Amino acid sequence: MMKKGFKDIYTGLVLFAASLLMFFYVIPHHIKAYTVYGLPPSFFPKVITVALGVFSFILIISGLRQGGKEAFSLEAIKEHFRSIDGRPARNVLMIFGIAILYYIGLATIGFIISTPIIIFLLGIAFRWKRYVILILISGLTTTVLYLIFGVVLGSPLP
Amino acid sequence: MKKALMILMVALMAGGMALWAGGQQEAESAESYPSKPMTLVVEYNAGGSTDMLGRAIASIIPKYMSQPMVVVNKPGGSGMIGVDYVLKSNPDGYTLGTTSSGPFTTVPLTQQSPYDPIEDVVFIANFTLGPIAICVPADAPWNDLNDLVKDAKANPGKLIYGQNAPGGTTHMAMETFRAAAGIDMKMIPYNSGSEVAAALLGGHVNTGTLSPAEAAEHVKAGTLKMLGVFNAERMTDYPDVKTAVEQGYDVQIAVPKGVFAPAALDPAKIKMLEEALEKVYNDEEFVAIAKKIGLGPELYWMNMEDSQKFMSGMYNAMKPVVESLGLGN
Amino acid sequence: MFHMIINGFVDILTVVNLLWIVFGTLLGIIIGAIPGLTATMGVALLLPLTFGMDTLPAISMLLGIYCGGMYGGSITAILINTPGTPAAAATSLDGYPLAKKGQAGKALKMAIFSSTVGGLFSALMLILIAPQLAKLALKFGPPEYFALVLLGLTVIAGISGKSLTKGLIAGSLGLLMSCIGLDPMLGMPRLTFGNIYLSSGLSTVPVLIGLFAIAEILENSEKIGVQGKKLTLHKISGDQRVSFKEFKSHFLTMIKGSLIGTYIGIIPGIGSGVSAFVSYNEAKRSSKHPENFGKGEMAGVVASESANNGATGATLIPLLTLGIPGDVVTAVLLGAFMIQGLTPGPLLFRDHGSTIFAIFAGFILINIVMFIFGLTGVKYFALVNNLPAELLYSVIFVMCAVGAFAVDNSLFNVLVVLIFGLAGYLFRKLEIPGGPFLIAFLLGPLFESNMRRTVILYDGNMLQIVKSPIAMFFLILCAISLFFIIRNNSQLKKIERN
Repeated sequence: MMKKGFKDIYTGLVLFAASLLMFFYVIPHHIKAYTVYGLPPSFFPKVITVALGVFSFILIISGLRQGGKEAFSLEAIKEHFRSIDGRPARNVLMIFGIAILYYIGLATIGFIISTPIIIFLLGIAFRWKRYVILILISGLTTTVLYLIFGVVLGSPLP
Repeated sequence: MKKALMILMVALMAGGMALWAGGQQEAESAESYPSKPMTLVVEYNAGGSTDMLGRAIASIIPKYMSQPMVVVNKPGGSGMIGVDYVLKSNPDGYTLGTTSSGPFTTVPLTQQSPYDPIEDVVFIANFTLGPIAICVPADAPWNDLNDLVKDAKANPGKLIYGQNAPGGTTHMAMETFRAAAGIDMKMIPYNSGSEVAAALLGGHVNTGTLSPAEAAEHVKAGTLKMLGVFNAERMTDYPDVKTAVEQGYDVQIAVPKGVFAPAALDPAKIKMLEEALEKVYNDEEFVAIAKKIGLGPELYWMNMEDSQKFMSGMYNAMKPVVESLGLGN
Repeated sequence: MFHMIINGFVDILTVVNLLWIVFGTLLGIIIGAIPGLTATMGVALLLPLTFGMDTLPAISMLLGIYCGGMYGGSITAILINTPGTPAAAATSLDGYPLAKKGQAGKALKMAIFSSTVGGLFSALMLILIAPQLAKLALKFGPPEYFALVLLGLTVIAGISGKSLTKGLIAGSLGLLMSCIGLDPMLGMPRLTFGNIYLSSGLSTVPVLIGLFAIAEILENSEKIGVQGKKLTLHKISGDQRVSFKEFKSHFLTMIKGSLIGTYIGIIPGIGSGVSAFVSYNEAKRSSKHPENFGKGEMAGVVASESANNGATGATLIPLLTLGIPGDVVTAVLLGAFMIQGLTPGPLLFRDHGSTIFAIFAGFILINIVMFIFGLTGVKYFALVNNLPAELLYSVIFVMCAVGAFAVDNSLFNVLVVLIFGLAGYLFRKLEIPGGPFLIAFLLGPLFESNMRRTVILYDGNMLQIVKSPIAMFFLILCAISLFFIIRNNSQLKKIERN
């Protein structure tokens, strides 16, 4: 059985590493030093990054306290991955993949063609079995959205 | 069945994308131009003054060009996103943009810009030139710029000026004035002219640069007054407010608005657009709309040649100011 | 005063005006309810339509969209946990758990009651003491803003849920994300990596939609094909009536929410989303059962809805009396007023008094129309949850993407939605709350710029803030708020241990 603190420890570690990276690399390289008018632009991001570092450190400590000390053993990590059910993760990735496909579709073939296809794909991915209804809904949604955004609101849909 | 359907749909999309990549672009001569609706890209949000001017132009131009013009807002990136969109579009005369000050002068200087604000652009026409005025609360002890400068010199670093959009045109105007007058003041930056107006009214800052449109109601109500204006000539609706030059400070900066296109646009089409836009400018209906949206006093026509000169002049004048403040990219 | 309002009603009560009010309000509710569309967008995009219209119908239609949109967001926030505006995100904190318990109908009814009370309260303030309130708004200089925003940030601790540390982490991440874009003081690009789309910062709506709506869809997609779990929406069950006693028990929260909404609304730039969260936090603080918040406590819905609609009339106060718009919506409204020849400013009431009072009367009517639609609509809105989830989620996903696109007409926003959708999903898996992230993201730029302004103003000596009574008032409220949060937290821990 997975220990309660496991997730917290690793979340904390990742965020702590991220805050170090921000503080020592990203902020100095991507925010210009400037001091003519009051505090420099890098001041506020630095303060937040330090705060993030501190909070993630606290998270690691509290994770360890909750009996997650074994989290660092190889066995515990293996155990953790074994305990994850692959099915939900695959589902989420599939839906997210379709979402990215929609972005690509909007950027290339445009709204009118990609929207019904994506609704159809999502419907299938969600295991909706009545295809006729699905096709009707895809067409209807596209038309309605086109009317709302394209015609009433005058947005230049791609 | 389900898998097959999914594969089919993905294939359909891929096919569509391939088709899209294939059939692009075709040229068209100036004679038949315009043969379809044109798009006017506004690089700011709907409802702002540039947007309203753009919509006014778009609503009148069909009278003179036989095709409608559709306004599209592409805000963001201090105006650069919309401008870049126009400049990267097919230079066929169907995608035009509204000129404003920032994305052609200060913004490319302070940020990395994906285009050259002078070389890549043709400024077809200019419609308005907005003055910038130094405003103070009505109960302030100064009545002109000299009073203010005297006080500022007596109290270096004590007086505060509220500044809309630091790094922008009005800020450069104020900095040019500060350099010309040789005074030291504290700057508190704000995000919009109306925020500066509020700070002036609340007494949180001593002076601020505002457009007359932003200050008008408060001046009328007797809560704000103008000490001077960075214009070439005095403003028609405030004839008593002296220009900075008249008061001995060589600052002449105003905010232009007009129409631009990618530099590669066919000169014949440019000519057609320029002529049509001039007719729009002189159209009574257009003038009526411009007055309604508060741009009446700022109307100022410049043809392509003058607009080009004006914009490059402004860009070159801003360059040293931006660099002297260390704000350059 | 009184006869001016009566005259206002006489002016506004024509068939044409009423039709436009009904049209605007209904459109607003629909726009607000669709995830991805906001009242701001509706008002901005319908503005050109008003160019050729008469003053009263034009302004009342736009105000109708504004108020309707503010309420409409609560519908989908409660029913399917897909808030489209920051204010609705506060509503969904308890609205959706109520829907899970089968009490969506009740929550929707309380939402419309609270929205109407908030809207009418702020309308009264607008009519009765607008000039006085405007003077109060002007008193807010950098130190006062700084203290008020700090109070807003203490809300992070209040809505952190189980783990305060995780709430603070979410808050830090939100603040960090709000740093992307132009430096709010000097206009220099910061953490943009040379990308011009990043230089205007991340837009609120795409971040919000990703974090809440898309994450909700992704989390639900986990259930696909898993034995024993079915992708369903929470159907309404049991008695959905709101008794007078219940209404009465929440009335105090409503008034408090309206007050908070009005107060925050008159300060330009803070916004209704923040007022909803602050009000929520206050309701939780003063509640006898703070532990129920976040698990389906009606007072949470009441507090946030009364506050966000309480802000509607209030944001009009600095706009009309000073010509100062507090946010994007009011900036667009400023344009709408000008087109009608009504330049907002100190002289507006003197020069156009009768028109303004007719508009105020219209504002009251809008709230009444909104109430009627909202209440009769409850049973139809609730039908949404009888739809098959498979289809609904597919359609909502597309709406979210298209809505995000329409914010700036930019595909970049669609990408932001996707990235934050994934981030929001990970947040849920790691039990990091989304609310604190959102409030920090909203307040970040305000907090930073006013802190830096204060530093300039006081030449670096922040202790001078004691000179400002308003700032001290808010700082004391911050301390009180933190004290209660810490006390509640330790009590909760005790309860858990026993």
